[in-house]
Amino acid sequence: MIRALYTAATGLEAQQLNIDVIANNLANVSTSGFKKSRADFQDLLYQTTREPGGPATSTTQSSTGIQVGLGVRPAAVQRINLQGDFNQTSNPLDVAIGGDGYFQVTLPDGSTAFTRAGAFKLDSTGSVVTSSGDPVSPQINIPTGAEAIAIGDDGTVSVTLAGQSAPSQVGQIQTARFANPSGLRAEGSNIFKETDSSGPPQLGTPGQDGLGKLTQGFLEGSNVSVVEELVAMISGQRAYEINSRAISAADEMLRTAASIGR
Amino acid sequence: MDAGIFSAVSGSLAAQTRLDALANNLANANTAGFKAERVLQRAERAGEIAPPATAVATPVTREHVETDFSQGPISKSGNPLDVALAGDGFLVVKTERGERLTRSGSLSIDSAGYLATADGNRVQGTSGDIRVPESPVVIAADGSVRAGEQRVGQLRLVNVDDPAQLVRESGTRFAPGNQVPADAAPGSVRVVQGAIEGANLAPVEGLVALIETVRGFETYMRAAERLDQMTAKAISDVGRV
Repeated sequence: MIRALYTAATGLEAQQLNIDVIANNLANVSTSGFKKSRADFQDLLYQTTREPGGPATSTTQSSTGIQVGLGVRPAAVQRINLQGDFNQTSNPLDVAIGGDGYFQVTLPDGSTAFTRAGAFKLDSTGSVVTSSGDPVSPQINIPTGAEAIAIGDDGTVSVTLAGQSAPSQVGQIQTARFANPSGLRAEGSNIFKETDSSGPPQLGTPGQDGLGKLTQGFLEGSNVSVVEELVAMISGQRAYEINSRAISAADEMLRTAASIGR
Repeated sequence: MDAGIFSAVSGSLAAQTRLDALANNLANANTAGFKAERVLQRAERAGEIAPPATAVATPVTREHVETDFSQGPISKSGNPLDVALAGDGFLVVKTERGERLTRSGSLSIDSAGYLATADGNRVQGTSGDIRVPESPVVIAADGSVRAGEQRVGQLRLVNVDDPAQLVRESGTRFAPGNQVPADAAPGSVRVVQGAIEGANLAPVEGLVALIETVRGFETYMRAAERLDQMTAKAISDVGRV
Protein backbone atom coordinates (compact mmCIF):
# COMPACT_ATOMS: atom_id res chain seq x y z
CA MET A 1 0.00 0.00 0.00
CA ILE A 2 2.91 2.27 0.65
CA ARG A 3 3.78 1.56 -3.02
CA ALA A 4 0.56 3.25 -4.11
CA LEU A 5 1.44 6.36 -2.09
CA TYR A 6 4.77 6.80 -3.86
CA THR A 7 3.33 5.84 -7.23
CA ALA A 8 0.67 8.52 -6.95
CA ALA A 9 3.34 11.01 -5.87
CA THR A 10 5.24 10.41 -9.14
CA GLY A 11 1.96 11.14 -10.92
CA LEU A 12 1.59 14.43 -9.07
CA GLU A 13 5.13 15.46 -9.92
CA ALA A 14 4.67 14.55 -13.58
CA GLN A 15 1.50 16.61 -13.87
CA GLN A 16 3.24 19.49 -12.14
CA LEU A 17 5.94 19.45 -14.82
CA ASN A 18 3.24 19.17 -17.46
CA ILE A 19 1.52 22.31 -16.15
CA ASP A 20 4.88 24.12 -15.88
CA VAL A 21 5.59 23.46 -19.56
CA ILE A 22 2.08 24.52 -20.59
CA ALA A 23 2.36 27.71 -18.52
CA ASN A 24 5.60 28.61 -20.29
CA ASN A 25 3.99 27.98 -23.69
CA LEU A 26 1.07 30.23 -22.79
CA ALA A 27 3.37 32.94 -21.41
CA ASN A 28 5.19 33.01 -24.76
CA VAL A 29 2.14 33.03 -26.98
CA SER A 30 3.17 36.44 -28.39
CA THR A 31 6.93 35.84 -28.48
CA SER A 32 8.13 35.91 -32.06
CA GLY A 33 10.01 32.80 -33.15
CA PHE A 34 8.96 30.91 -30.00
CA LYS A 35 8.53 27.14 -30.36
CA LYS A 36 6.21 25.38 -27.95
CA SER A 37 7.36 22.46 -25.86
CA ARG A 38 5.59 19.38 -24.68
CA ALA A 39 6.36 17.12 -21.72
CA ASP A 40 6.57 13.47 -22.78
CA PHE A 41 6.11 10.82 -20.11
CA GLN A 42 7.06 7.18 -19.72
CA ASP A 43 6.11 4.59 -17.17
CA LEU A 44 8.61 3.78 -14.41
CA LEU A 45 9.92 0.42 -13.29
CA TYR A 46 7.72 -2.60 -12.75
CA GLN A 47 7.85 -4.73 -9.66
CA THR A 48 7.52 -8.31 -10.84
CA THR A 49 6.11 -10.71 -8.26
CA ARG A 50 5.44 -13.38 -10.83
CA GLU A 51 6.86 -13.38 -14.35
CA PRO A 52 4.23 -13.66 -17.10
CA GLY A 53 4.68 -17.00 -18.84
CA GLY A 54 6.60 -18.36 -15.87
CA PRO A 55 5.87 -21.81 -14.47
CA ALA A 56 2.71 -22.00 -12.35
CA THR A 57 3.13 -25.68 -11.56
CA SER A 58 5.60 -28.21 -12.93
CA THR A 59 3.45 -28.69 -16.02
CA THR A 60 1.55 -25.42 -16.54
CA GLN A 61 2.50 -21.87 -17.26
CA SER A 62 0.87 -18.87 -15.69
CA SER A 63 -0.91 -16.99 -18.43
CA THR A 64 -0.47 -13.65 -16.71
CA GLY A 65 2.02 -12.66 -14.09
CA ILE A 66 1.91 -10.11 -11.33
CA GLN A 67 3.68 -6.99 -12.44
CA VAL A 68 2.77 -3.77 -10.72
CA GLY A 69 4.15 -0.52 -12.03
CA LEU A 70 5.67 2.09 -9.79
CA GLY A 71 4.56 5.26 -11.52
CA VAL A 72 5.64 7.69 -14.18
CA ARG A 73 8.66 9.76 -15.10
CA PRO A 74 9.21 12.55 -17.57
CA ALA A 75 11.05 11.17 -20.62
CA ALA A 76 11.64 14.49 -22.35
CA VAL A 77 10.41 18.00 -22.72
CA GLN A 78 10.32 18.06 -26.47
CA ARG A 79 10.32 21.26 -28.47
CA ILE A 80 7.83 21.09 -31.31
CA ASN A 81 9.46 22.84 -34.25
CA LEU A 82 6.36 23.53 -36.25
CA GLN A 83 6.14 26.67 -38.32
CA GLY A 84 4.63 29.66 -36.54
CA ASP A 85 2.19 32.07 -38.16
CA PHE A 86 3.51 34.91 -40.32
CA ASN A 87 2.59 38.32 -38.97
CA GLN A 88 2.95 41.26 -41.31
CA THR A 89 4.80 44.19 -39.79
CA SER A 90 6.02 46.07 -42.89
CA ASN A 91 9.21 46.82 -40.98
CA PRO A 92 12.05 46.29 -43.51
CA LEU A 93 14.27 44.66 -40.91
CA ASP A 94 11.72 42.08 -39.82
CA VAL A 95 12.49 38.76 -41.47
CA ALA A 96 10.64 35.47 -41.13
CA ILE A 97 11.97 32.04 -42.11
CA GLY A 98 9.42 29.91 -43.93
CA GLY A 99 10.61 26.37 -43.30
CA ASP A 100 13.79 24.96 -41.83
CA GLY A 101 16.64 27.09 -40.54
CA TYR A 102 17.92 29.43 -37.86
CA PHE A 103 19.56 32.85 -38.04
CA GLN A 104 23.11 32.83 -36.76
CA VAL A 105 24.13 35.51 -34.24
CA THR A 106 27.28 36.29 -32.28
CA LEU A 107 26.84 36.67 -28.53
CA PRO A 108 28.86 39.22 -26.51
CA ASP A 109 31.20 36.42 -25.32
CA GLY A 110 32.10 35.67 -28.95
CA SER A 111 30.20 32.39 -29.14
CA THR A 112 27.72 31.60 -31.89
CA ALA A 113 24.04 31.12 -31.17
CA PHE A 114 20.91 30.56 -33.24
CA THR A 115 17.49 32.14 -33.29
CA ARG A 116 14.25 32.07 -35.25
CA ALA A 117 13.27 35.56 -34.09
CA GLY A 118 14.00 37.80 -37.05
CA ALA A 119 13.05 41.13 -35.50
CA PHE A 120 16.30 42.80 -36.45
CA LYS A 121 17.39 46.36 -35.65
CA LEU A 122 20.36 48.56 -36.43
CA ASP A 123 22.85 49.47 -33.75
CA SER A 124 24.79 52.74 -33.45
CA THR A 125 27.43 51.54 -35.92
CA GLY A 126 24.85 50.51 -38.51
CA SER A 127 25.23 46.75 -38.13
CA VAL A 128 22.21 44.46 -38.13
CA VAL A 129 21.50 43.15 -34.61
CA THR A 130 18.77 41.19 -32.82
CA SER A 131 16.46 42.75 -30.22
CA SER A 132 19.05 41.85 -27.56
CA GLY A 133 21.78 43.65 -29.55
CA ASP A 134 23.64 40.56 -30.75
CA PRO A 135 25.02 41.07 -34.29
CA VAL A 136 23.96 38.75 -37.07
CA SER A 137 26.78 36.53 -38.28
CA PRO A 138 28.31 37.03 -40.83
CA GLN A 139 28.04 40.69 -39.90
CA ILE A 140 26.03 43.04 -42.11
CA ASN A 141 26.53 46.81 -42.06
CA ILE A 142 23.95 49.16 -43.44
CA PRO A 143 25.71 52.33 -44.62
CA THR A 144 24.39 55.65 -43.33
CA GLY A 145 22.18 57.39 -45.83
CA ALA A 146 20.52 54.21 -47.01
CA GLU A 147 17.03 55.04 -48.16
CA ALA A 148 15.65 51.57 -48.60
CA ILE A 149 16.71 48.15 -47.36
CA ALA A 150 15.70 45.09 -49.35
CA ILE A 151 16.18 41.53 -48.11
CA GLY A 152 15.68 38.90 -50.77
CA ASP A 153 14.21 35.46 -50.09
CA ASP A 154 17.71 34.03 -50.53
CA GLY A 155 19.06 36.33 -47.79
CA THR A 156 20.81 38.96 -49.89
CA VAL A 157 20.66 42.35 -48.22
CA SER A 158 20.81 45.33 -50.56
CA VAL A 159 20.38 49.04 -49.93
CA THR A 160 19.50 51.97 -52.10
CA LEU A 161 21.64 54.95 -51.21
CA ALA A 162 20.43 58.52 -51.49
CA GLY A 163 20.90 59.83 -55.00
CA GLN A 164 21.37 56.38 -56.52
CA SER A 165 18.81 54.52 -58.52
CA ALA A 166 20.25 50.98 -58.45
CA PRO A 167 20.44 49.04 -55.20
CA SER A 168 23.79 47.69 -54.10
CA GLN A 169 24.36 44.49 -52.15
CA VAL A 170 25.81 45.00 -48.67
CA GLY A 171 25.56 41.52 -47.18
CA GLN A 172 24.15 38.06 -47.15
CA ILE A 173 22.12 36.47 -44.36
CA GLN A 174 23.03 32.84 -43.88
CA THR A 175 20.85 30.37 -42.04
CA ALA A 176 21.76 27.11 -40.33
CA ARG A 177 19.93 23.85 -39.97
CA PHE A 178 20.43 20.90 -37.64
CA ALA A 179 19.85 17.17 -37.88
CA ASN A 180 17.88 17.35 -34.63
CA PRO A 181 16.65 20.90 -33.97
CA SER A 182 14.75 19.66 -30.89
CA GLY A 183 18.15 18.91 -29.37
CA LEU A 184 19.23 22.57 -29.37
CA ARG A 185 19.60 24.06 -25.90
CA ALA A 186 17.26 26.96 -25.22
CA GLU A 187 19.17 29.80 -23.60
CA GLY A 188 16.28 32.19 -23.16
CA SER A 189 15.89 35.47 -25.07
CA ASN A 190 14.84 33.40 -28.14
CA ILE A 191 18.40 32.09 -28.37
CA PHE A 192 19.44 28.48 -28.95
CA LYS A 193 22.85 26.87 -28.72
CA GLU A 194 24.30 23.87 -30.46
CA THR A 195 24.63 20.65 -28.42
CA ASP A 196 25.92 17.12 -29.06
CA SER A 197 22.32 16.08 -29.46
CA SER A 198 21.44 18.71 -32.07
CA GLY A 199 24.47 17.93 -34.21
CA PRO A 200 26.65 20.60 -35.84
CA PRO A 201 25.04 23.48 -37.77
CA GLN A 202 24.91 23.13 -41.55
CA LEU A 203 25.21 26.68 -42.87
CA GLY A 204 23.74 27.64 -46.16
CA THR A 205 21.87 30.09 -48.30
CA PRO A 206 18.15 30.41 -47.51
CA GLY A 207 16.05 28.61 -50.09
CA GLN A 208 18.74 26.06 -50.89
CA ASP A 209 19.60 22.59 -49.50
CA GLY A 210 16.32 22.33 -47.65
CA LEU A 211 16.68 25.68 -45.87
CA GLY A 212 13.54 27.79 -45.75
CA LYS A 213 13.20 31.02 -47.71
CA LEU A 214 13.16 34.39 -45.99
CA THR A 215 10.31 36.86 -46.14
CA GLN A 216 10.96 40.52 -45.48
CA GLY A 217 8.42 42.60 -43.59
CA PHE A 218 7.04 39.67 -41.65
CA LEU A 219 7.72 38.16 -38.25
CA GLU A 220 7.23 34.52 -37.36
CA GLY A 221 4.82 34.35 -34.44
CA SER A 222 4.95 31.65 -31.83
CA ASN A 223 3.51 28.26 -32.78
CA VAL A 224 1.49 28.09 -29.55
CA SER A 225 -2.19 27.37 -30.01
CA VAL A 226 -3.99 28.81 -27.00
CA VAL A 227 -6.94 26.46 -27.35
CA GLU A 228 -4.73 23.37 -27.48
CA GLU A 229 -2.76 24.53 -24.46
CA LEU A 230 -5.93 25.23 -22.47
CA VAL A 231 -7.26 21.77 -23.25
CA ALA A 232 -3.92 20.25 -22.20
CA MET A 233 -4.01 22.34 -19.03
CA ILE A 234 -7.47 21.10 -18.09
CA SER A 235 -6.50 17.48 -18.67
CA GLY A 236 -3.27 17.99 -16.71
CA GLN A 237 -5.12 19.59 -13.83
CA ARG A 238 -7.66 16.76 -13.68
CA ALA A 239 -4.89 14.16 -13.81
CA TYR A 240 -3.23 15.95 -10.90
CA GLU A 241 -6.46 15.91 -8.95
CA ILE A 242 -7.08 12.23 -9.58
CA ASN A 243 -3.57 11.34 -8.44
CA SER A 244 -4.16 13.20 -5.19
CA ARG A 245 -7.32 11.09 -4.79
CA ALA A 246 -5.19 7.96 -5.11
CA ILE A 247 -3.05 9.28 -2.24
CA SER A 248 -6.14 9.81 -0.07
CA ALA A 249 -7.33 6.31 -0.95
CA ALA A 250 -4.02 4.81 0.16
CA ASP A 251 -4.17 6.94 3.29
CA GLU A 252 -7.66 5.75 4.10
CA MET A 253 -6.68 2.11 3.65
CA LEU A 254 -3.71 2.58 5.96
CA ARG A 255 -6.02 4.18 8.51
CA THR A 256 -8.41 1.21 8.30
CA ALA A 257 -5.54 -1.23 8.75
CA ALA A 258 -4.24 0.72 11.72
CA SER A 259 -7.65 0.84 13.40
CA ILE A 260 -8.19 -2.94 13.30
CA GLY A 261 -8.21 -4.63 16.69
CA ARG A 262 -8.63 -1.47 18.69
CA MET B 1 -8.72 -21.32 14.64
CA ASP B 2 -11.16 -20.14 12.03
CA ALA B 3 -9.57 -20.42 8.59
CA GLY B 4 -11.91 -17.65 7.41
CA ILE B 5 -9.46 -15.10 8.74
CA PHE B 6 -7.01 -16.18 6.03
CA SER B 7 -9.70 -15.74 3.39
CA ALA B 8 -10.35 -12.23 4.65
CA VAL B 9 -6.66 -11.38 4.72
CA SER B 10 -6.19 -12.68 1.16
CA GLY B 11 -8.96 -10.31 0.10
CA SER B 12 -7.28 -7.32 1.72
CA LEU B 13 -3.94 -8.24 0.16
CA ALA B 14 -5.60 -8.34 -3.24
CA ALA B 15 -7.13 -4.93 -2.54
CA GLN B 16 -3.65 -3.58 -1.86
CA THR B 17 -2.35 -4.85 -5.20
CA ARG B 18 -5.44 -3.39 -6.84
CA LEU B 19 -4.71 0.01 -5.33
CA ASP B 20 -1.05 -0.16 -6.38
CA ALA B 21 -2.05 -0.94 -9.96
CA LEU B 22 -4.71 1.79 -9.96
CA ALA B 23 -2.19 4.34 -8.68
CA ASN B 24 0.17 3.34 -11.48
CA ASN B 25 -2.58 3.69 -14.08
CA LEU B 26 -3.60 7.12 -12.79
CA ALA B 27 0.03 8.32 -12.56
CA ASN B 28 0.34 7.46 -16.25
CA ALA B 29 -2.86 9.22 -17.29
CA ASN B 30 -0.86 11.41 -19.71
CA THR B 31 1.73 8.86 -20.84
CA ALA B 32 1.59 8.22 -24.57
CA GLY B 33 1.06 4.57 -25.51
CA PHE B 34 0.47 3.52 -21.90
CA LYS B 35 -1.59 0.36 -21.43
CA ALA B 36 -3.54 0.10 -18.19
CA GLU B 37 -3.01 -2.68 -15.69
CA ARG B 38 -6.06 -4.61 -14.56
CA VAL B 39 -6.09 -6.68 -11.40
CA LEU B 40 -8.18 -9.81 -11.61
CA GLN B 41 -9.07 -11.91 -8.61
CA ARG B 42 -9.67 -15.62 -8.75
CA ALA B 43 -11.00 -17.92 -6.06
CA GLU B 44 -8.54 -20.63 -5.13
CA ARG B 45 -8.47 -23.26 -2.45
CA ALA B 46 -5.24 -23.08 -0.55
CA GLY B 47 -3.90 -26.24 1.02
CA GLU B 48 -6.12 -28.52 -1.01
CA ILE B 49 -4.84 -32.07 -1.05
CA ALA B 50 -6.05 -34.68 -3.47
CA PRO B 51 -8.14 -37.50 -1.93
CA PRO B 52 -7.88 -39.89 -0.10
CA ALA B 53 -6.04 -37.56 2.30
CA THR B 54 -8.40 -35.13 3.94
CA ALA B 55 -7.64 -31.54 4.64
CA VAL B 56 -10.06 -28.67 4.75
CA ALA B 57 -9.03 -26.20 2.09
CA THR B 58 -9.21 -22.49 2.82
CA PRO B 59 -10.94 -20.52 0.13
CA VAL B 60 -8.69 -17.60 -0.74
CA THR B 61 -8.54 -15.06 -3.49
CA ARG B 62 -5.43 -14.73 -5.59
CA GLU B 63 -4.73 -11.74 -7.72
CA HIS B 64 -3.41 -11.62 -11.26
CA VAL B 65 -2.32 -8.48 -13.01
CA GLU B 66 -3.21 -8.29 -16.66
CA THR B 67 -2.37 -5.66 -19.20
CA ASP B 68 -5.33 -4.20 -21.02
CA PHE B 69 -4.13 -3.93 -24.62
CA SER B 70 -7.23 -2.14 -25.87
CA GLN B 71 -6.82 0.86 -28.14
CA GLY B 72 -6.12 4.21 -26.44
CA PRO B 73 -7.70 7.41 -27.71
CA ILE B 74 -5.85 8.96 -30.65
CA SER B 75 -5.52 12.71 -30.43
CA LYS B 76 -4.04 15.07 -32.96
CA SER B 77 -0.77 16.71 -31.98
CA GLY B 78 0.28 18.23 -35.29
CA ASN B 79 3.89 17.23 -34.73
CA PRO B 80 5.09 15.32 -37.82
CA LEU B 81 7.30 13.09 -35.67
CA ASP B 82 4.38 11.79 -33.59
CA VAL B 83 2.88 8.52 -34.72
CA ALA B 84 -0.10 6.76 -33.21
CA LEU B 85 -0.93 3.14 -33.94
CA ALA B 86 -4.53 2.28 -34.71
CA GLY B 87 -5.18 -1.44 -34.37
CA ASP B 88 -3.20 -4.32 -32.92
CA GLY B 89 0.54 -4.01 -33.25
CA PHE B 90 3.69 -2.52 -31.85
CA LEU B 91 6.64 -0.46 -32.98
CA VAL B 92 10.06 -2.01 -32.45
CA VAL B 93 12.83 -0.09 -30.70
CA LYS B 94 16.42 -1.17 -30.23
CA THR B 95 17.59 -0.84 -26.62
CA GLU B 96 20.87 -1.90 -25.06
CA ARG B 97 19.08 -5.01 -23.78
CA GLY B 98 17.68 -6.03 -27.14
CA GLU B 99 14.61 -5.28 -29.16
CA ARG B 100 11.56 -4.06 -27.30
CA LEU B 101 7.99 -3.39 -28.35
CA THR B 102 6.19 -0.12 -27.73
CA ARG B 103 3.11 1.81 -28.73
CA SER B 104 4.52 5.12 -27.56
CA GLY B 105 5.03 6.99 -30.80
CA SER B 106 6.32 10.40 -29.77
CA LEU B 107 9.46 10.14 -31.85
CA SER B 108 12.34 12.50 -32.42
CA ILE B 109 15.45 12.59 -34.55
CA ASP B 110 18.77 11.93 -32.84
CA SER B 111 21.99 13.85 -33.54
CA ALA B 112 23.03 11.36 -36.21
CA GLY B 113 19.70 11.90 -37.98
CA TYR B 114 17.98 8.63 -37.05
CA LEU B 115 14.39 8.23 -35.89
CA ALA B 116 14.40 7.52 -32.15
CA THR B 117 12.09 7.53 -29.15
CA ALA B 118 12.20 10.36 -26.62
CA ASP B 119 14.81 8.51 -24.56
CA GLY B 120 17.13 7.96 -27.52
CA ASN B 121 16.41 4.36 -28.53
CA ARG B 122 16.29 4.01 -32.29
CA VAL B 123 13.06 2.91 -33.89
CA GLN B 124 13.51 -0.08 -36.15
CA GLY B 125 12.49 -0.23 -39.76
CA THR B 126 12.16 -3.36 -41.86
CA SER B 127 15.87 -2.99 -42.68
CA GLY B 128 17.29 -1.61 -39.44
CA ASP B 129 17.57 1.98 -38.21
CA ILE B 130 15.78 4.66 -40.22
CA ARG B 131 17.77 7.74 -41.15
CA VAL B 132 15.85 10.87 -42.09
CA PRO B 133 18.34 13.25 -43.72
CA GLU B 134 15.89 16.02 -44.54
CA SER B 135 12.50 17.39 -43.75
CA PRO B 136 9.59 17.24 -44.24
CA VAL B 137 9.13 13.76 -42.84
CA VAL B 138 6.04 12.01 -44.11
CA ILE B 139 4.94 8.72 -42.56
CA ALA B 140 2.19 6.89 -44.41
CA ALA B 141 -0.53 4.69 -42.91
CA ASP B 142 1.41 1.54 -43.84
CA GLY B 143 4.49 2.85 -41.99
CA SER B 144 6.60 3.87 -44.96
CA VAL B 145 8.77 6.88 -44.17
CA ARG B 146 9.65 9.58 -46.67
CA ALA B 147 12.11 12.38 -46.00
CA GLY B 148 11.84 15.18 -48.50
CA GLU B 149 11.45 13.49 -51.87
CA GLN B 150 13.04 10.16 -51.06
CA ARG B 151 11.72 7.02 -49.39
CA VAL B 152 14.04 6.27 -46.47
CA GLY B 153 12.47 3.25 -44.82
CA GLN B 154 9.48 1.42 -43.52
CA LEU B 155 8.54 1.24 -39.83
CA ARG B 156 8.57 -2.33 -38.56
CA LEU B 157 5.16 -3.16 -37.14
CA VAL B 158 4.93 -6.42 -35.23
CA ASN B 159 2.54 -8.52 -33.20
CA VAL B 160 2.91 -11.43 -30.81
CA ASP B 161 0.74 -14.54 -30.42
CA ASP B 162 -0.10 -13.93 -26.78
CA PRO B 163 0.21 -10.30 -25.65
CA ALA B 164 -0.63 -11.39 -22.08
CA GLN B 165 2.84 -12.89 -21.81
CA LEU B 166 4.68 -9.70 -22.71
CA VAL B 167 6.79 -8.44 -19.83
CA ARG B 168 6.23 -4.78 -18.96
CA GLU B 169 9.33 -2.64 -18.70
CA SER B 170 9.92 0.97 -17.84
CA GLY B 171 9.86 3.42 -20.72
CA THR B 172 6.40 2.26 -21.87
CA ARG B 173 8.06 -0.75 -23.45
CA PHE B 174 7.32 -4.45 -23.47
CA ALA B 175 9.90 -7.22 -23.60
CA PRO B 176 8.81 -10.06 -25.88
CA GLY B 177 9.81 -12.68 -23.27
CA ASN B 178 10.09 -16.06 -24.93
CA GLN B 179 7.88 -15.13 -27.87
CA VAL B 180 9.18 -14.13 -31.27
CA PRO B 181 7.42 -11.02 -32.62
CA ALA B 182 6.07 -11.57 -36.12
CA ASP B 183 5.34 -8.89 -38.69
CA ALA B 184 1.82 -7.58 -38.25
CA ALA B 185 -0.60 -8.67 -40.95
CA PRO B 186 -0.91 -5.93 -43.59
CA GLY B 187 -3.88 -3.74 -42.81
CA SER B 188 -4.25 -4.95 -39.21
CA VAL B 189 -2.52 -1.85 -37.87
CA ARG B 190 -2.47 1.64 -39.27
CA VAL B 191 0.06 4.38 -38.57
CA VAL B 192 -1.40 7.83 -37.99
CA GLN B 193 1.13 10.62 -38.38
CA GLY B 194 0.80 13.82 -36.35
CA ALA B 195 -1.18 12.12 -33.61
CA ILE B 196 -0.54 10.47 -30.26
CA GLU B 197 -2.21 7.46 -28.71
CA GLY B 198 -3.11 8.39 -25.16
CA ALA B 199 -3.27 6.07 -22.16
CA ASN B 200 -6.19 3.64 -22.42
CA LEU B 201 -7.83 4.40 -19.11
CA ALA B 202 -10.93 6.32 -18.25
CA PRO B 203 -10.24 8.56 -15.24
CA VAL B 204 -13.83 8.28 -14.01
CA GLU B 205 -13.59 4.48 -13.95
CA GLY B 206 -10.35 4.88 -12.05
CA LEU B 207 -12.03 7.05 -9.43
CA VAL B 208 -14.88 4.58 -8.97
CA ALA B 209 -12.38 1.73 -8.70
CA LEU B 210 -10.45 3.70 -6.07
CA ILE B 211 -13.54 4.03 -3.88
CA GLU B 212 -14.48 0.39 -4.41
CA THR B 213 -10.97 -0.73 -3.49
CA VAL B 214 -10.83 1.33 -0.32
CA ARG B 215 -14.27 0.10 0.82
CA GLY B 216 -13.43 -3.50 -0.14
CA PHE B 217 -10.25 -3.35 1.89
CA GLU B 218 -12.20 -2.01 4.85
CA THR B 219 -14.77 -4.80 4.55
CA TYR B 220 -12.11 -7.52 4.48
CA MET B 221 -10.33 -6.01 7.45
CA ARG B 222 -13.59 -5.75 9.44
CA ALA B 223 -14.39 -9.37 8.61
CA ALA B 224 -10.97 -10.43 9.87
CA GLU B 225 -11.60 -8.44 13.03
CA ARG B 226 -15.01 -10.06 13.63
CA LEU B 227 -13.57 -13.54 13.11
CA ASP B 228 -10.83 -12.73 15.55
CA GLN B 229 -13.42 -11.57 18.10
CA MET B 230 -15.31 -14.85 17.65
CA THR B 231 -12.13 -16.81 18.31
CA ALA B 232 -11.43 -14.69 21.37
CA LYS B 233 -14.96 -15.30 22.64
CA ALA B 234 -14.60 -19.04 22.10
CA ILE B 235 -11.37 -19.07 24.08
CA SER B 236 -12.66 -17.00 26.97
CA ASP B 237 -16.29 -18.17 27.23
CA VAL B 238 -16.56 -21.80 26.15
CA GLY B 239 -14.33 -23.20 28.85
CA ARG B 240 -16.12 -21.25 31.59
CA VAL B 241 -17.99 -23.38 34.07
